[in-house]
Amino acid sequence: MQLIFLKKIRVVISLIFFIVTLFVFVDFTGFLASRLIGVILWLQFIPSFLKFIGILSIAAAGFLVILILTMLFGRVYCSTVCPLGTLHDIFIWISKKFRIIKRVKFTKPHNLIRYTILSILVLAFCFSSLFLMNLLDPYSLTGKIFSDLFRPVIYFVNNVLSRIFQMFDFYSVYSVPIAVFSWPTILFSFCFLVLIILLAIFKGRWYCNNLCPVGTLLGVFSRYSLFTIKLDENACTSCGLCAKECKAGCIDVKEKKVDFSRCVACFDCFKACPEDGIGYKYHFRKKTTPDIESDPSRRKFLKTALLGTTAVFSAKIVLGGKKEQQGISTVPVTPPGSISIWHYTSKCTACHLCVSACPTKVLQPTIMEYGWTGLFQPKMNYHAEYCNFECVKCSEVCPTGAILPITKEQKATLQIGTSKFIKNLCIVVTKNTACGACSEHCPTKAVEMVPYLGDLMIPKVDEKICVGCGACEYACPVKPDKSIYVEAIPYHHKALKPEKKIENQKKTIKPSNDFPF
Amino acid sequence: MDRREFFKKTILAGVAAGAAMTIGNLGKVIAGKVPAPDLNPNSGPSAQGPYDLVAIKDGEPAQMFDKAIESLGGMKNFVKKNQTVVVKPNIGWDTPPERGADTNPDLIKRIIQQCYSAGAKTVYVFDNSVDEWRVCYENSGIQKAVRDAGGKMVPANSESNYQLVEVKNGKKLKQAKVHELILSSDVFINVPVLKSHGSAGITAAMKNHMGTVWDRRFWHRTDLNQCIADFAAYRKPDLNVIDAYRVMTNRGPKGVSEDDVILMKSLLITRDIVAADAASAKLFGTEPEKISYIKLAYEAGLGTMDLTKLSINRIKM
Repeated sequence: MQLIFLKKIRVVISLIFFIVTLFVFVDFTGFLASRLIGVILWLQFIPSFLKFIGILSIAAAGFLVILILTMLFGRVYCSTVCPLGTLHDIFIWISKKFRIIKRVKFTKPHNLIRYTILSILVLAFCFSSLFLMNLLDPYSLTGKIFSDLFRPVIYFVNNVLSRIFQMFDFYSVYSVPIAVFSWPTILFSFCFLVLIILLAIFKGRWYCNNLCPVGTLLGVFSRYSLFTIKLDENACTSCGLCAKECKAGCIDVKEKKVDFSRCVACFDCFKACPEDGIGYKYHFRKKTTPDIESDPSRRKFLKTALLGTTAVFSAKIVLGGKKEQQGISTVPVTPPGSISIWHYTSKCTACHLCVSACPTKVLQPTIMEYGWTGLFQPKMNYHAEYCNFECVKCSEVCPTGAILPITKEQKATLQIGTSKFIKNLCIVVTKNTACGACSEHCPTKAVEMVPYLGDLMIPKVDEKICVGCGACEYACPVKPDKSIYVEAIPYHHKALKPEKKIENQKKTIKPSNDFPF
Repeated sequence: MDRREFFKKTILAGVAAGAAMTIGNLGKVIAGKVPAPDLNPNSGPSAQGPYDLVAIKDGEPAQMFDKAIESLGGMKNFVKKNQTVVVKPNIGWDTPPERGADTNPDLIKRIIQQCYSAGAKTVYVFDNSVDEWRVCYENSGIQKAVRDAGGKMVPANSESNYQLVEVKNGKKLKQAKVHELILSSDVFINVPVLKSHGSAGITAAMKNHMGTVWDRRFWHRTDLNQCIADFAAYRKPDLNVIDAYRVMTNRGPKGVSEDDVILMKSLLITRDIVAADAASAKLFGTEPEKISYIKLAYEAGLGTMDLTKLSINRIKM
């Protein structure tokens, strides 16, 4: 039938989105401008939604476009824009090629699972928590796979190439540090990828129709789509060929019905039907038959879900907790532009795009440091690196608005933490030798060297002009606990500008027309 | 790095690599890459100019270098035909040239040009930057200067490029991981910028060596001044060129703004790394013996701290 071309278009669009999104996450050269990254990710549903309610701007209205498309044609997001959907499709395609796949049988929808998840998530969100959203959002999950799993592989291959090229005296392919990756995040992404592969092979788009909150939400909307995919009751011979192709398992051949709330709009079934009996139909053409899954129990689920979430929220997030280790912030330092730890944790879905884009790699995923509702949200890891004074990359690329755009000028006086000096750990005190690594690295000279014993100089911190970039903490050579570190401040605010010129500095250099020797 | 160029070069490299393999040059190229390190500090080109040190002022960086090197008998006294040269500027910081935190790019450019005129095979430039190296290379203007002069800008951000060496006679620094170009190049030209330094007092020639090693933190942890002096004995540069065109007088070594910088328009060149730092200290308005590592290096017999004992050519342009 004429609509077969739709599948080809769908495949092309999905591959373009997938490849470009993958590139955004694994690129280390800064090849794509931040604006372009914003365009590429504009349609990602949850990030766009979060950003939109934060800044109320058309610049973040991508999710509205998706909603409109869903109201017209169903869940087209799931088979084009969604990188996790395409990841599924790739494995489904491979397993079909190798004939591993078992056909996904039609089942009744698991409404208990999907609506419970969605309602807990919505409820949690009302309490400004991203619980479940950051764990189940398909874009963010794929982001973690790209950033934490694929990126190290790409880096490794690049570094091998770089080494080979160097043997030929060729230095333009430079190596990128791999050491910064943390095993727990790699392990998580790996396990999740394995899960997706298994699900894709044996259950098709099971994740999308049971766990994925975007899939469930769009499924609710797609019930009322203007055009839905339907079986032509007159043409259909119940041969089951379309259902065999369906990776969502949403075609009920016996009843000649398509559960459009679970249809991911992949259009694979169009080609399968020898009778040309399946395709888009105007939804409201005739009196609609009762919805295949209007189920009275949904209300009950919502109720149970409500109870469940209230229980969840009575358990309060405890940030960090007391640490015995000295020389490290008790709560994580959040990146410049994230306004406050609350703003940040209630907006970040842990897609790890900032982690990928950060040129110095100071932004690192955490595990539990933000509490269990903030799993994998990145922090400023000053033991790994420090924040470049002139760089605002993370604020430019963040798709959810957890890190809002700031200019270099704003950043120059934006305090995200303050430097704390633990004198009794300092080299100058413990060994009586010169050091000054902290002051050396400080971009504002908030850490200054002042006279100590004899010729020795010791650091002194002026918190008012400290921006909390972590250069001092990174540079401090004291082991195991650092003698200077950045303590997070809950609300980021303006730091004072460093004085134009230090007036009391002794002017040793006399202007002279002659040589002093 | 220019992104387009990066990709272009990446492809070119692949082609070049393939070509080299087919010609069968692989063994030779690899063998030529890391020869035994030249540990004798006096084994560089031996011709001595009439002067121990040339100090020059009131010119532009490139002009001053031309004039100064000429008075030491020209670059051919330092670089012989087909030799490989490593030029080590200070590219520690993500700052523009006006901030005086990194070595002047025009000076680097002219040094490379002079090396090639003297017949150098390849001139390499690198620094183990403190700030993120790509932005340092780019914003210091040095990457462009090197490219314009036909030199090779080498990333130094990977530990795999550093080799562990013994530091003989080191009091505190017994071993260090040193960038392979310092070990393999025939000629080592040290081109620091003179700046204030919070704990060491000033930074110039000897302290610039910290950008040739991998683990700087060890130095800071283990008596910074002694480590600087210890390492100065390990591989003396064949030539030290001190950029004192823009001098950061306080809040060094990174500085906060251009207010920290004065225009001194001076340049020093000498083989003697201790003399280089001693003269730098004088330019900075202090005495060499007040800078710990200069004194330590002098006491270890690495060079002359007493400038009155040197024959100095003082040039005003």
